[in-house]
Amino acid sequence: MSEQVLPFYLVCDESYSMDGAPLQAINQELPTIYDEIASNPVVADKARLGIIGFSTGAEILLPLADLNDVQSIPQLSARGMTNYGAAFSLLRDTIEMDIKKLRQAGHSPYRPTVFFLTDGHPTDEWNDDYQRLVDPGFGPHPSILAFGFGEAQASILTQIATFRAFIANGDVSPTQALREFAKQLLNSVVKSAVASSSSPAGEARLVVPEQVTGYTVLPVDLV
Amino acid sequence: MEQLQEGLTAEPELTIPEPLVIGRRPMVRPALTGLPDVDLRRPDSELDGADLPGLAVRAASIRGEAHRHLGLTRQDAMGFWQIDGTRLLACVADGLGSKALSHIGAAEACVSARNNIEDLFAPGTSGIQPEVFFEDIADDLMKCAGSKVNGRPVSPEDLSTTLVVALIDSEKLQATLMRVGDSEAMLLREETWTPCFPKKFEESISSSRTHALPHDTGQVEITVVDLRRGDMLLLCTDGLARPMGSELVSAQLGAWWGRSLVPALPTFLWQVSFRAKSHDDDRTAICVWTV
Repeated sequence: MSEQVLPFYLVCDESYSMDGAPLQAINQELPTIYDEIASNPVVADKARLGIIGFSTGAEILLPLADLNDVQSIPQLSARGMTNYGAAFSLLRDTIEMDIKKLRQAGHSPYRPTVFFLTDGHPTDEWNDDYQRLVDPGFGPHPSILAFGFGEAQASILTQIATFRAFIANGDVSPTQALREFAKQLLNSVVKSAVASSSSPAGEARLVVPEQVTGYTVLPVDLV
Repeated sequence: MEQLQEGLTAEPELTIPEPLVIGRRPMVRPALTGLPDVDLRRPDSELDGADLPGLAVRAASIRGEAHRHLGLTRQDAMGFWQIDGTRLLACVADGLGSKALSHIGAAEACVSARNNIEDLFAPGTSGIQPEVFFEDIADDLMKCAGSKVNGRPVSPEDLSTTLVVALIDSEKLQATLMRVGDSEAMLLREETWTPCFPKKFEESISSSRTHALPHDTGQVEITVVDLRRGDMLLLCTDGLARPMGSELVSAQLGAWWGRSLVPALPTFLWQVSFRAKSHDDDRTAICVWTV
């Protein structure tokens, strides 16, 4: 049976600098995000969420899945460097494969949305992998929201985001900043799915916050 | 009295069945909430039908499960009218979800199509002039915006709607179809569906940016379909066309409506109310059988 699918990906920095409170905060919030999305029927019927972690390399921690089919939520763990290129490369291949699988199953996937979370400087040359991901010739190129805190640089976040970028402004602790990030991820999934559901034209609409507590909004050149 | 009392006996087999679930069961429960807080809200559903010389019509417009869940009004609209002894005008409109008052635009577009039907026919010829006709409808939408809604000014964009119109001649066995936007027309012949308008190029991801009135009058698509007795012509919004992209749904509807099986109105409402996970949009169908 053909279903309309709104794919969301959380791409999360797992480099050593995320060790301790930042990753603990994310790990605490993830089950709540899943529970709340799964319990909202309008959202749960359409939204699917996948998680990719990256450090020196990148891996799929949770494949893109219907939230009611998810049995356990993975835990993020700190290790290695901050290799953005590995994240973008895996994300491009994963999106390509997921969209292909969804279409083969007869579903109608909409443009994916990526929440990219980082706390540091990239330690690699990432631009080629990034360009492969956002290439307009790549049909399902995603809308990217970038969130940075800790050592993250505004100039890099604005290069990565295609939709909106946020940088923690120090008003709140890193733990609070990450909880706020999780809250915004949840809100965006819910509001986007509801907005799309309330559209008789079937239009998928990405609804993202214009302001986030503890973050400064960065200007982004829309792709 | 005796009969009435007998009729009141609650026989379990007389219970109206829940709408058919096709594919996976949706999480959304088919429940109503409070009345939508919006100007000129539309009724939750409309059901209409007629048996005319040579044509049988069944029509339903049903609020989507998401709109019901969220307490929002139905934004689809429909209408059909006899033009003369042999010709039927049928319209289906889909107000754009991103526009707060598009339900008014969709309803107005259908009424306007009826009111401007004379302008569809080119004077002094047997031809038609759909561009003029759609310009008239767009003008009416602009006037509707200009006349304000409940005293408040409205921009024409707020009324944005798709519109598909069919002029069906039961004598010539021909349907002239015109549309702006992505509402659909499909022919059902012996349980096989054929889209009337050319299919759009299918991209790797779904998008439904659509042309809409009142602005896109330059985007009128026109096609003529020859009919046979026993055919059924469906006009519908994408709330039905999208789930029909699934073989399960199109085969089920084909089995229900193919081979000149014209359902009773309550049955038709039940059929259009089928449930399919993630397909929670408003759903409108006008089915016209040539009999």
